[in-house]
Amino acid sequence: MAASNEAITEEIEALQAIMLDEVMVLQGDGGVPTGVEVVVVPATAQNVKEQHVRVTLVISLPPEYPDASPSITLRNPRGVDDDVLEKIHQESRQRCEEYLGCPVIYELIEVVRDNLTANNTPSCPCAICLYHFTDTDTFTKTQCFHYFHSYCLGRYIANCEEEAAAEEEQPQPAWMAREKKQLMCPVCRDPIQKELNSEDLLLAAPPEEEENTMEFRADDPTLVALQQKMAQLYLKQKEKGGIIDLEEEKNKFLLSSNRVDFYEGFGGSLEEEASLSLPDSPVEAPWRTSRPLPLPLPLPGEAAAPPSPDTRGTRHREATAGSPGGTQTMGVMGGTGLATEEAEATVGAGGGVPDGEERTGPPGSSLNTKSTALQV
Amino acid sequence: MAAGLPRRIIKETQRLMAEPVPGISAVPDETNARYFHVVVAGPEGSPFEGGVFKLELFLPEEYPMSAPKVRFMTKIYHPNIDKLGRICLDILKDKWSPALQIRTVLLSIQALLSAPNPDDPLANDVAELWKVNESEAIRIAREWTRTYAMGN
Repeated sequence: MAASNEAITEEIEALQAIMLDEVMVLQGDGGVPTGVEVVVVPATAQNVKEQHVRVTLVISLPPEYPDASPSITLRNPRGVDDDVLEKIHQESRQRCEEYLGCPVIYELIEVVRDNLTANNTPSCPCAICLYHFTDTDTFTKTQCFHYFHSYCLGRYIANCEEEAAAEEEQPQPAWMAREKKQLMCPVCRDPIQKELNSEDLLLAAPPEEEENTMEFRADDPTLVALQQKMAQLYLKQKEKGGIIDLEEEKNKFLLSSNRVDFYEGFGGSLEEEASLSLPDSPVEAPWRTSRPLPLPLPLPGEAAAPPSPDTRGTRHREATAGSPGGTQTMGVMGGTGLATEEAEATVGAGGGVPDGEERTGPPGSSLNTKSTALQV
Repeated sequence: MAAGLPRRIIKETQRLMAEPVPGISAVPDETNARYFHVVVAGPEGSPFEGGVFKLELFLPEEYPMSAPKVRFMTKIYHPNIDKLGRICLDILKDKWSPALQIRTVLLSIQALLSAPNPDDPLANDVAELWKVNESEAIRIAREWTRTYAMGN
């Protein structure tokens, strides 16, 4: 036992001599080394900018080491996907067997490093678009080692900036004002480099893989079966009075002076909501209706384009539904109610088509109203 | 149908279908691929156990840059869910991040059912009872689950 401890100490000292302070020694009771922890990066001749992946390797040494194999854990992988991690695990186990009875820590670090060097392209998907990085994609690494297509990150930053600007435009009471936001990594919320800016990032081409996805099949039998099951559940619960009746709840609310805008996404203010549940409107099974939906209105600037059953058309559809006399059509399906916001905008604009500004307006504004409503 | 639908939404939908989250089912509407019919099973050990809760989820135009809009359709007695089914959950508001997805949002909602937070209430009366008489609040929550949220 004592001899083994000595061997371990010797091995770790040698390791520290090679790797300097990159190695963290884990110690058990009485200062006995029980393992090491190393952040491993690819071999890139010390060029940190070229290191696109990393992983923390934790090697736990059993008391019998080196006569028993150490166990390894891979923590905080960045840019490394499960296949690569699995490969590292396999190779490490193999190496441990080969080196049974001999020092193996450095060998294990080498296994990890070699694998990272061979896979020094982030092999995880971009957390924003969910597509992988192709060889031609431009990507950006945050200082916390998270990867995004530069284009996607640019969109994110631009959106954050828009929200911040919208917030500034709408002065809020001091108790509500939020601190100026430091841009955060979408994945871990660590601050991201200040030098990243949306203008530069958006110069990059959009992710390539986006172009080659399978089409989504709306008539997939599994999907249809699931939709039917959902509809049945809805009806069953509705029968038992288990479905929230927005009309009834609205009447209970006596906060008429406080518009509860939170709900806008589902149907504008509560007043709007009420109009969705008119007595004869077929609200029972909102999505199970044979009534054709109004065709989407053409967008400003593409007036010549034929109306298509574009799913994005929901909102335009709403615009139609919201035009004078069309309110009742909004009861047609659940989804319709969701965009009454649009109808409201339409009414506000004198029944016309909402202008592009309204349609693509910064989401920040709606978020603000939401938090306001929460305080009500 | 999917024309003009961002690829990310298609990809998320495919994955929701192919690898559903246990206790959660999300199905796009047949006429609007941004509108999802959702069912969340009440978590084990919570007063909502045994219930199946219907929710609606809508992905706004700006998604994933802005959060999905989610609401309970089934009545539920919970301090962070109000009478209209609106949910008090930070990731649906200012803590939204485009790295979150439909599945992570629904998982968070499921977790909220397991861990009601009466200190950050949306339904004040419920939260109040939850704080002063938790066992009674839990009893009511169970009763509501039995009365309103049964799947059969």
